[in-house]
Amino acid sequence: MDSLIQLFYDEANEMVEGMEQVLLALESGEPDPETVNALFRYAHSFKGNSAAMGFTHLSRFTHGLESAMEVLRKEQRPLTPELANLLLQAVDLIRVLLERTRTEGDVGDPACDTLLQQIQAALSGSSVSAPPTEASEAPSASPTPTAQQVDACTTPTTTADIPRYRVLYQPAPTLNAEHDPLQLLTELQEYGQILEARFREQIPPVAQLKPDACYGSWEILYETAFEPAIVRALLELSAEGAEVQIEPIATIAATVPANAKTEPTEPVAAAPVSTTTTPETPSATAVASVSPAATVKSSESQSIRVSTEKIDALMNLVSEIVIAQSMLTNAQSGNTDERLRAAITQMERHVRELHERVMAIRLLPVSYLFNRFPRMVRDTATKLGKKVNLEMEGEETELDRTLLEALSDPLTHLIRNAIDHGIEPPDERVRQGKPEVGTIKLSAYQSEGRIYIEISDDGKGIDTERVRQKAIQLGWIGENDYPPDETLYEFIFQPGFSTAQQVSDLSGRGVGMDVVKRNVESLGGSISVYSKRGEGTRFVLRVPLTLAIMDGLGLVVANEHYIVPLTAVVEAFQYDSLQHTALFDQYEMVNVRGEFIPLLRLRQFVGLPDGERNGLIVVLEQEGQRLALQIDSIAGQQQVVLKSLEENFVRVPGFAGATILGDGRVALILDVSDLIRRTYSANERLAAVA
Amino acid sequence: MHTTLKTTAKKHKLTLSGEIGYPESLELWETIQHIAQDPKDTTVDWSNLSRLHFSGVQMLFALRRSLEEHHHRLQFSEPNPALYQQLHTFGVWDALIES
Amino acid sequence: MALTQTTTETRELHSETNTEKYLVFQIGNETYGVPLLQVQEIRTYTPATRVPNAPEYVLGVVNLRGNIIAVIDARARFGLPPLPDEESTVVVVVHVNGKTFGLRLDSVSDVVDIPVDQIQPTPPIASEATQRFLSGVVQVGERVVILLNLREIFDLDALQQIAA
Repeated sequence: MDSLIQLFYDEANEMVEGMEQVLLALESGEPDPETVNALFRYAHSFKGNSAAMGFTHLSRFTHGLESAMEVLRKEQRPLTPELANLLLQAVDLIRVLLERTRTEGDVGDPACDTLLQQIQAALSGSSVSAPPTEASEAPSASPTPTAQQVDACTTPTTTADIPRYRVLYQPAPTLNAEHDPLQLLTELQEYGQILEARFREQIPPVAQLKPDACYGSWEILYETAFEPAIVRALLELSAEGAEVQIEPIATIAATVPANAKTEPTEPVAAAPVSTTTTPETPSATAVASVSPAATVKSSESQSIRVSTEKIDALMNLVSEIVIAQSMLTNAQSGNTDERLRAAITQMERHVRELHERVMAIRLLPVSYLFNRFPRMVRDTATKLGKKVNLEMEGEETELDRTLLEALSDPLTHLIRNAIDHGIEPPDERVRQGKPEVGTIKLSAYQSEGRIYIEISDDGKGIDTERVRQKAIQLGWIGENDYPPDETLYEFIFQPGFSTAQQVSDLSGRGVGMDVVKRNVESLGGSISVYSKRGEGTRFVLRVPLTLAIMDGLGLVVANEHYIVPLTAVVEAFQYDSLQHTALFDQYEMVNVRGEFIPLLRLRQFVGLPDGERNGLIVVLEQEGQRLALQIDSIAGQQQVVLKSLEENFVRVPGFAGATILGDGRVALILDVSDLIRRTYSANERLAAVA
Repeated sequence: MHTTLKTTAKKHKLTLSGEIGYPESLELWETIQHIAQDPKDTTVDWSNLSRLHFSGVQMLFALRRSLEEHHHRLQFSEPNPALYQQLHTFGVWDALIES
Repeated sequence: MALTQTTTETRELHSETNTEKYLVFQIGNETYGVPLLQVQEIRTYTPATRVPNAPEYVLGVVNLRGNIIAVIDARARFGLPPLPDEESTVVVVVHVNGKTFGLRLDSVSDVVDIPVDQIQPTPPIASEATQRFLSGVVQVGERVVILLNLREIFDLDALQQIAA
């Protein structure tokens, strides 16, 4: 039961998001019929699902919205800002109610009726040609709309130019509580009219009947003003395996009944079911002169829903397999048995592929993250009296889902910041010769095994003088210090820099730039900023492609075992006193073929007492900077799975995470970027003091 | 109860009422099977039945076939208008009623 | 210690008081308890991997079925001198503050039902530092059980202050 409820909320959230996006797209003036249909599909599914869950108020409210939007659609009217606002408010209200249903069950709100009335008022002034009728009330999951004023009807009128289709409907082979072909056909009545229906069946006698199998199919003459895609969607709703063929009929077919019992009559608008008169529509009549149906194939890709717990469990399992594989490879390294080696090599290949494929499951396009921003930008800009246009690029770039979730807060903050402090008010922009509407560009791309996300704006840029003054105020630099711009930009990311003055009510909640930086870094990424006074600012976030399995090199100091990513290792050699120098007796360096590289003693770094001072030097490199790490010895290479320290503990400076060695022990994984940064800035401080 | 069965020496009377969704149709299935194993002329009183899942509809078809094999009849009372409307519009009514 | 003496046995016979299960164990000479609901499992102690620059009471991290969890030494947390590992040394794995931790103990005793209304507030017996680790005291038979506040013991904010 719990999973069913969770499924409802998951799907509900998706539908609500979908509705919102479509409304936003429509608002920017592109009434593309597919988009509008998508809106109806979302609303319709959501309405049905909520009713099925017993949330009748929610379902009714959605129905009211659906009817209102139908008016827009039929009359092909553009979405005015006023209407857009109302409809978006309605989406918000749905969200709120949805949350409340978690604890309050079938909850309603007077705001629903008010909003529907407002929407209706905004719509009125139009002439609705169709005689208003209530949608037919079959005993199914679609109740009547609450607001009396919502009278847009969903059944088409009797005008002759309503398209007709021949629909061949073969329901999915399995019947269950969610799949009742009669129910689906009833829903069809809401979107059009079944003029004739022929029911074909091959139902066996009781002895052979299986209650959950479907032995029937239909051929229907159907009239609807909606797109065939909607019809298809309705019939395929909640039932995989249905076969639907929809073929437009060019002319109103002359019905040639095979064995007609009654005469064909004029199609009438569907009357409410509560009447006792029986309409005289003929039931089983063949539709004449039809060419072989052109199958309208659904181009939607197949997908299924999987819970994240299952995916995570699968991921962990694959990670363990990789480790076991690694142990196997190491264990047989001395072996000369050819068959064994061949078998292990083959397994290595398969495991690698398995790993890649499973990792790919966790990848989601960045659009999942970006999609919430158009709305946010719109609302924030309106609130602040700014005019902002959001451009997005590279939404199909894929990212591990945990990274996506983790980036949500930092990106939100950066965008809000851009609107608040970056983009100038419209009149000021005009005065500066800029377009009145500011632009924020959000883009994502992949490069060198990393994902880059850029947020740029064409606002006023970072005021370096103000930053300098602030730094002086905070005592970080002296009054007469004029650090280069790059340094000043970095100040923004230091804790303590974002003061109450800068934190408006939007950027509040204690989220400052320092938190953004910390968040990004805890993912193993980095953030940089570029800016030009008067022209704009650009933030570049860089995150690793996946929280991956990597090749690691084991480093030993005393009896402790640490891992460093093999990709960061340039070379390793025996310590040689000839190469070693110490500037001012503090600043240790190693001369490697003429290049002086700062030295860090791992023993010292991890807080062990002094010991072996010679040992090995391992040269590490990350982002163009090098570090020489002094250790006791190397423990060999192995594949390691990066596991989080923060998940159950805290972030430990200098370490990217931990891994589990072949013997079950935990080994910490060094964060090379962090080590380099610390060593360099420590050295800088030393140099500054000197 | 959605389903009640009254049996005499010569007849079955199957009364269906309320709404029979999928789970209820599975209960109905037991009764249907019972009737099929003891074939007699059967009347279905569904005047108070407002909804019947398609699974249940199929069962009635199957029952009719099974009874016919033993030269018995399956008859239906006046249906509830809502149900009739549905079955009729979708072409099921005639197929079910015609003998 | 000024504790109101209550006869729990007679109480239990007469009323259906609300009881909660607690896992009870020794640290030093005292008996302590934690709510069983927060206890995920009990394992034998295996040496933890040291975390550089962590506070003394953090023994390190261990592998719990593929997850990395921290193990805290109960004695050290209470400022007691450490004891060598014995056969009876256990790690109680608890789930608190949304995270999973291990608490290294000398030994565990058993699980007892403690009537909720018998729990008295902690008298100010401990030092300021350790007072916040305690969430109450209760008489169980002949023993006085001191109830621990795991949230305070595993206070992550304090742990975040790991020296850079």
